[in-house]
Amino acid sequence: MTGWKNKIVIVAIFLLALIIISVLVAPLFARLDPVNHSLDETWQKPSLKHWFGTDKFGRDVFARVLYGGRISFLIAMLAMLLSLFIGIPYGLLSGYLGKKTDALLSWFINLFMAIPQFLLILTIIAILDKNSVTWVIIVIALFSWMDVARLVRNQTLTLKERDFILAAQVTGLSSLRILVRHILPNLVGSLVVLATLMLANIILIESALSFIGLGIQPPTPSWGNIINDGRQALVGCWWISIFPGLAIIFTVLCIHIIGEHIQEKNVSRY
Amino acid sequence: MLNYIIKKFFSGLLLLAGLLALTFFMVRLSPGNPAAIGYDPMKSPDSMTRLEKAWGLDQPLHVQFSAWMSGLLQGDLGRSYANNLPVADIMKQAIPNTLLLTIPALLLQIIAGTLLGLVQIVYHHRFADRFISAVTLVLYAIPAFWLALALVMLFSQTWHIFPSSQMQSFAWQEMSFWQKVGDRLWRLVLPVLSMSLASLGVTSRYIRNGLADMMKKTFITAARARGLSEKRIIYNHALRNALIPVITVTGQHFPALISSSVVIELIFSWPGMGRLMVLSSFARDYPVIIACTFLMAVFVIIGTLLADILTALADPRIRL
Repeated sequence: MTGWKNKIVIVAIFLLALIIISVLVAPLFARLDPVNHSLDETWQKPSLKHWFGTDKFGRDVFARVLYGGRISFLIAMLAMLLSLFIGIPYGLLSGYLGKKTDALLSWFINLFMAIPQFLLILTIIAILDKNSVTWVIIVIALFSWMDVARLVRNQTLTLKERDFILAAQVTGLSSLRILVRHILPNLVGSLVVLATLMLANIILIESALSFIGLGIQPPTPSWGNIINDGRQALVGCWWISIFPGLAIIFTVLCIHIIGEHIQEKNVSRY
Repeated sequence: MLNYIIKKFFSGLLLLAGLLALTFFMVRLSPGNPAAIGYDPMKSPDSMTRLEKAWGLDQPLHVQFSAWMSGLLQGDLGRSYANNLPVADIMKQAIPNTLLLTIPALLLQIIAGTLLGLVQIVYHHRFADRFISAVTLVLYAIPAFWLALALVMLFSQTWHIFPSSQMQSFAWQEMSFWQKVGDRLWRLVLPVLSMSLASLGVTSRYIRNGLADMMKKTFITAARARGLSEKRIIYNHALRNALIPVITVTGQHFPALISSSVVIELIFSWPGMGRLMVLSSFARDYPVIIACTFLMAVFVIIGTLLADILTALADPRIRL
């Protein structure tokens, strides 16, 4: 059983690494151009020359999927880091200070969590009318930090009562030092798990946004907007929508498998 | 119990009040002027200021807020900027359509998810268990909108079994009542499937892991010692206790379901709240956007409240 599971985790790591590396090295191959269109080669089936076929402008779908992956990963990574950046201090403060501060800060977390996250992101991006990568990252992070804050807060609340923190307080260490040097390191394990899951979640959110037409704007490819490109010719030219979708599924699936594995390792350590 | 419900109710109410302020200011403070849409300085130079005046946009923000609040308390949600219809009327049309989509999806997710989780625990660590685990893990990674497109591609455009969009047939007017019901149900299949399939894994994994933990508890060992059959232990003893976290997780998952309904409504041209919200976001129809966001939040808060109460009913320890 364990051997079987470990093999799957290894495959997932390998596959994810393959996806990330091919996305990274894509610009090294001049043949792969995501925006270059040739009208002689529109709606081509997948072939040796165009692995994932071509779209209505004769653009190579394989190249578009690779370049779209660059955008998707970039957004997911930065938005995740930004929400960690907001959520960790927030949760630390809320959990460590406790009492009324905690009650107020937790109430704000609940407030943000009461509106469906995707809906909020979608509305704000639509109203802002700014579809640049930077804005997509900021808005996604602005409505994703709550999970981080809640996790950090709950764990800080229990850690605070432990003897080693008490000892640190008695020694006269400053609160900041206790938080950064003694509480934060104990949170790393669960934060890593949450961060991987967030990465997958943000990839899904971004693709849905771009699919609707609110996220990354064409001609810049993103997994979501390539799928949208293929909508008008689903049956005749299935490859345009199917391949970027598979890219999303494999990426998210690998991240989930790896995240779950880290989580199991975490639990067994205690 | 009553105390518990009252406490939860008031904290929900407080959250609602905060949400009202949050949605209002977030939407109003963002840049962009709704009066500028379709504005043509050549035709009527003062149309923009006239519109701003009519919509109260020239007032200071706090005045706008209190005006909107007092309207809301009287049950008046304002008028849409886009077509000047009362927002309440627009919402009245959209809400039932969204519920028609989300409630069956939620039910399907709970029932099918529970059944799958049960099968997994009955065949624990055997092929069926692993197979279902793998399938639900993959389903969980599939974006709902892509699944919807794939289903449309196969079931409506290739095999022509289900319609690809719209809520009713062209012949709707001439249909008898039962034909209408049938037509509506037929059109529900693909959107509901694409919504619930993706989240099936959430429920089934919770049931499976919850049951697996339950089976290690001492009261199960005691039941085994009494010589009860394994099936009876699972259904009568373990399942009851494992269902409690399912209520909680369904409550937590509800916002995600509402979110996925947005994309699904767009794909299937289903005239619900999600679609309304996206279209009005593009049109900067502030009153409709604020009302939609607020109402969705109300749904979520009611959902969480219900989940809390149900959990407390099922597990008396929580009420304390």
